[in-house]
Amino acid sequence: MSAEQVSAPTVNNPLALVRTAVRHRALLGQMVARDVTARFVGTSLGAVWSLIQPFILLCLYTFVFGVIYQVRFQVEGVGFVPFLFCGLWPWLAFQDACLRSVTVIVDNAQLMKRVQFPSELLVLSAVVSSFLSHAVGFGLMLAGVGIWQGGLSPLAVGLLAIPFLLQVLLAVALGLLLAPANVFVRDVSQLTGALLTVWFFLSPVLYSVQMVPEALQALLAWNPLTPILSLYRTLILSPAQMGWTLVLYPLILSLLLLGLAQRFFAGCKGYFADYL
Amino acid sequence: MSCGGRCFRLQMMCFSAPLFPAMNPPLLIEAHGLGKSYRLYRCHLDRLKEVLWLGRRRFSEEFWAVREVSLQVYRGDAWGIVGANGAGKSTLLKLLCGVTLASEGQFRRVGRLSSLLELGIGFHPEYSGRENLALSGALMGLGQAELAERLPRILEFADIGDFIDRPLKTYSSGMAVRLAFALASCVEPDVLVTDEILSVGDEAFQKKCIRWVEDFLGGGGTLLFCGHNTYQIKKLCGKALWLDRGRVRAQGAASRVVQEYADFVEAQSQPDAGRTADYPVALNAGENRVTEVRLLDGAAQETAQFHFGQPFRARVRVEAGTGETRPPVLLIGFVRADLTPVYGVSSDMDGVVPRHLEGRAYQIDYVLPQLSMLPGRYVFRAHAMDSAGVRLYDTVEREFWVRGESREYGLCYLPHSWET
Repeated sequence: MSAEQVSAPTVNNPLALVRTAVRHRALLGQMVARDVTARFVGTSLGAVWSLIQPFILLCLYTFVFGVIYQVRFQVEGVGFVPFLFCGLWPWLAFQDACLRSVTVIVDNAQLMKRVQFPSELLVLSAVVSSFLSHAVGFGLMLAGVGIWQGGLSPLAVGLLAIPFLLQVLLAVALGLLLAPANVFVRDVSQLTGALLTVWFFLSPVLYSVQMVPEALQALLAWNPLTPILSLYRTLILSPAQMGWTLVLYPLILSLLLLGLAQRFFAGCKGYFADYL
Repeated sequence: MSCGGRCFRLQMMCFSAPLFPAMNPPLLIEAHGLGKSYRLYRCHLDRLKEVLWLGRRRFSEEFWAVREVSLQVYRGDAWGIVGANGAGKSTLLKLLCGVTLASEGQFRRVGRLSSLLELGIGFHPEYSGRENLALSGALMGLGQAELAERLPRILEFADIGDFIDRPLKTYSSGMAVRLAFALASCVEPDVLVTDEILSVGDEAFQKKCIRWVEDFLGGGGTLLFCGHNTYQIKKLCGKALWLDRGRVRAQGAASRVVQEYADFVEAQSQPDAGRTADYPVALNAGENRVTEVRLLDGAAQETAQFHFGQPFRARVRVEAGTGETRPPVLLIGFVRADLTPVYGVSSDMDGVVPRHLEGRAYQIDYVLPQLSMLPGRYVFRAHAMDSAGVRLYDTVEREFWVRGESREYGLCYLPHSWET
């Protein structure tokens, strides 16, 4: 008789998360499909809203900075709109992923109390669905920029997967840390919202690193989103100047965080049902 | 009650395990000294403080929802869990399902435990029935291919017609429940865990559910069932566990445990009951009184434990008051634990007179050749009356139990026959 000890499985292997996702891919697929559509279910335009909202933001920032402040923006030889677009969609996807994953366990309290299933999937699904819904808008805008600029390098477009995956990795790590914390102390979700606003202005989304005073540039380099956003911009706007060393810092940081987050999550998950 | 042959088949199945111990079925769940404690916080800030102190200081009170539960579930077992609200039934099921971790004790399980703890897991009102089945099914461990293959069966069981493609919010509550149960019934678990699910839907659907559970049990399925409906537990389960404030009060054959629980509930609902002491009636000298009541079984042994269908004898001694010149009249009665009267009769109604012993003492035996009260807790009452059988002077009570394996309902066995 094969007996199964039922306790919180300790995660020592960084691939455990991948294995869980693969084993429960049917469930994960259903959850992602549900997450992508859940926000728009019942609306007439449906998922089109996920394209419209970032576009409105792009227009507003362009209006405020280009028309009102009349900022003469000429960095790396591109205009403000293509520059902003390269950073805005990745940022919004990341912000969305963090905000949704922090509350995902609490939001699914009924599920946590009723069935036994790997709760990591909830965080994964929140992150993946956020990035997926923004990826569609990003792709459409990318096509627009391609036409504007007169062609994009297919290789560069393919390589966009690298900053994309780095961001997903970072978001999953943060989600796995924040979601359990929010179960025990509900203030975490509010704090996350506030910190993300700070993070937005401390990331080179609305400005480029070169515009920052040199003394502060070193500080900005600690932000893992700085190299990631640079990767997006270089690949789209000037693929010839690609520098791969940018990948290292966010990759190492994300993997370390992910290892830590997995352990933290595994330690906490047994208590979710009790604290919800 | 429409049981007929089905009842009999179930009964056979439920008791087949102890009858043939050689066919030892495999152990599915084993729990030893299982316990679960919760922390109760007075406010949210206390919880934050405790987190910040990393458990070195406590700002909470400990509350044991379940403690020292030991349980062995074998394949084919049907366990009913009874207990008052808040007794820990749901917590115990959650522990057995693995939804929550035990605070103490050992716990081991084999096989796939499909939790039907609550129906409609992951149902969302805006999505159609079909879309809801997809996510809910995936949560219960059904892959897309498996679900597609079982979909016709689910649709047939749920019987909601075209509604399957409409949003769940347009369903009546009964339809939603039917869909949820239909899905759950297709998961084919090793162990089925349900929490009061059989009390949902309309009567026709309930019958369908019960029939499905019976078939599931008949096919060798294992059931953990929790509820207040002692009728269903007696009908479906062979074994039962009674939880009282988190601890096991009784455990074993369902008919016995459920009966004890039912007696307890009856007694609780009637605060006066359970008192075996004599009535504190201030007796005036010169009034008749009961001096002794002894309950005897068929072998003339004094006991409080009787068996259904066996002889019962109550030996009552009465003392006539000083003002009495004739023998007193004795009134006897049976009441159930909740003080529901079962039967009462007096000696003068039947034209008998207590036998004179010596002095003012009289004695009479009240005899039932076959105890026809159904298993449970009862009280025998003896009242001394005046010799005219008009005034009631004294009351003495004796509590007793009727034991036996009975699946009938009500107070008494009524002599009957069936004709077709």
